[in-house]
Amino acid sequence: MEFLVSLTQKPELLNPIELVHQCREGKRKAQYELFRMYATPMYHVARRIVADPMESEEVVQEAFVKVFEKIHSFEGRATLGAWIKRIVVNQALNEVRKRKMVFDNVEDAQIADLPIEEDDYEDVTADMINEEINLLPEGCRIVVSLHLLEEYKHTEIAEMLSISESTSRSQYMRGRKMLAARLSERMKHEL
Amino acid sequence: MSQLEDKIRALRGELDQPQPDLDRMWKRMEPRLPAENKHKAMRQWAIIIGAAAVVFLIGYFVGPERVVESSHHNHIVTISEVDSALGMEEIALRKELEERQVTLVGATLDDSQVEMFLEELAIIDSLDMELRSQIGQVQNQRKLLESILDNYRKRIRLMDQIIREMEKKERNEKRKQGAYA
Repeated sequence: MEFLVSLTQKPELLNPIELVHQCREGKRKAQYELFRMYATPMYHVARRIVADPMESEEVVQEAFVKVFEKIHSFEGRATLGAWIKRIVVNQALNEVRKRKMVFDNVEDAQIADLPIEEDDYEDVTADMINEEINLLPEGCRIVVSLHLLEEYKHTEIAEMLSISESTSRSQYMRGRKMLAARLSERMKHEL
Repeated sequence: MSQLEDKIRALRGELDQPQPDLDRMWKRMEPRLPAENKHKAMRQWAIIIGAAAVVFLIGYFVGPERVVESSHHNHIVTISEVDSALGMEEIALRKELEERQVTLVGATLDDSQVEMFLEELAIIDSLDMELRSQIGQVQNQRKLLESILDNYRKRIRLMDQIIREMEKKERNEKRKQGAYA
């Protein structure tokens, strides 16, 4: 019979070494505790890549199943969070690839045509930024999210997405300028 | 950095909205989780993690003796076996890495520095494992091996960064001591 953890029960705080050890033994309580510790930030990472909230939950679920299946291979060379995050990012990118993600060819001239960022964005709120990032073309949105919010380097993004570093940079530049233009426009209307 | 990037970074904490329904997610995934392992897992990893974090972490690198099993042929493949020149280059890079290890053994770094280092190292390790699993299995072997060597260079750059931070910290401490003397 499946051992069900009481979801109302507050997780006990085990130290990370003991937590990982117990997860390796398949202890449900430890798995639950580890899930509670990391699922929320991982959900936000996934959401920035796949955009859809329900799909993001599914990505995190799939990723955590993999985390618990692969936890024997976690050797402590990296932080647990970094290790889990990489699994989540890969899972999210796999989902996006199913939708045949397209990185539009962006010429430098096209980027230059976009307006120069000159606002101070003082009145811009977090909600506005989230909404406008979600409206970016998929390729731009993913690169902007991974670089600006998750702080991955363009070389790393290029490897993750199987694109060139210059494509990652141009997608980022384009995404940033589009975001700036949309936020400036929005502020004008909301004043 | 543009004003927009500054603004977004300033609001970074507030961007993580809305919150997910963790209970619903757990209920959906729990039946798929691996069952409890009756045999106690080896605790060797815990001993390793328990060692001084910095010394342990900088002690890790992928040496030429580290091998990958080809899933198709169950054959052990090393870089020097595939390309002797690149194998030599790997040995040279490994030596460079070892020199930095010596400098960093016993170093005291604050938590944020260690955290940064770990994050970077995790990414490189993950990429490295992916690349090594493809040795002997892809057509463009040279490009693959060069990417693996490039991972050594990235590790070296990271260690140089840490060494510079250490030196800076030492200089600042000396300056402070001088000021109070």
